[in-house]
Amino acid sequence: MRKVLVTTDGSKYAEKGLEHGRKIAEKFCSEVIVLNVIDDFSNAYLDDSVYLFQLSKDVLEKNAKIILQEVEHVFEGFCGSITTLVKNGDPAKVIIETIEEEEPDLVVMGSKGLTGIKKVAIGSVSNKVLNHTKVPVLIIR
Amino acid sequence: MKKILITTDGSEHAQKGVIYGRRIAEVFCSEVTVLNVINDFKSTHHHESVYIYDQSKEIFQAQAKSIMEKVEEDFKGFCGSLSTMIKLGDPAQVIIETIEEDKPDLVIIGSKGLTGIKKVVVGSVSNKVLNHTDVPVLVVR
Repeated sequence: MRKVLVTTDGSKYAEKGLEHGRKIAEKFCSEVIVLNVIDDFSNAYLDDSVYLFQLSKDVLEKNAKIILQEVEHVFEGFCGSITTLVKNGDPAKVIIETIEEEEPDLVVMGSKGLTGIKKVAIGSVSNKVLNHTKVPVLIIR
Repeated sequence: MKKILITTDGSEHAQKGVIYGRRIAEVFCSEVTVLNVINDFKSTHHHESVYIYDQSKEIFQAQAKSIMEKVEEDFKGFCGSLSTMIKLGDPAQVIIETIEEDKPDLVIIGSKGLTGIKKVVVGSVSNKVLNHTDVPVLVVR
């Protein structure tokens, strides 16, 4: 459990993911990478979404900063190392790409994140990731 | 991470789940339960399946026993406690019921088990379990 990737979107499920991620990573003093993806809606087929993204980009980026502060809070005094990444794009795609680049031993994801209003019980992002990676994925609800 | 439930069907993916599960359970010296569910095919809509089950009941049971013997071997020298369970029924349903009874802190499922020939990448069993529980689920491929 050398390397653990924790994904977060700032939802309460993602926060739980951070806490669980630490619980496990602590025991191995792992190298933890926390990834926050800002959805650019470029994969949604709505022109308005792109417009919305442009409009709310600042807000989202500010949000990402808050999330990262939270990460530092949850991981205070952590025995391993912690790196935080903020990326733009389609969340599932960016997470899958990051898994390929970083080759973690474990991925921790909070399920049913910010698009959890939908009737899907497992978040669509975690579902896509589960279907595209061979790395063990821990889903936190 | 006091209590960990690991499900196995004896497939290669489940086997990986058992080994990976030990790695995590070891650092917490957890109370581990390994569950193997013998599918009685009652939830499939083929009467033949039930017939097949009745015909080969003993083979299934012998198989379950040998799976558990292998698990016990994999957990040799484990610092926590290990118990094994063999149950009969629809795998997803039995796993969900066991989670409700045992209230583990973590469930580990090997994905794409014995019905993995299908084009579904995440196994249907792990998918059902993910959708029906609030307990953190680690999917191992």
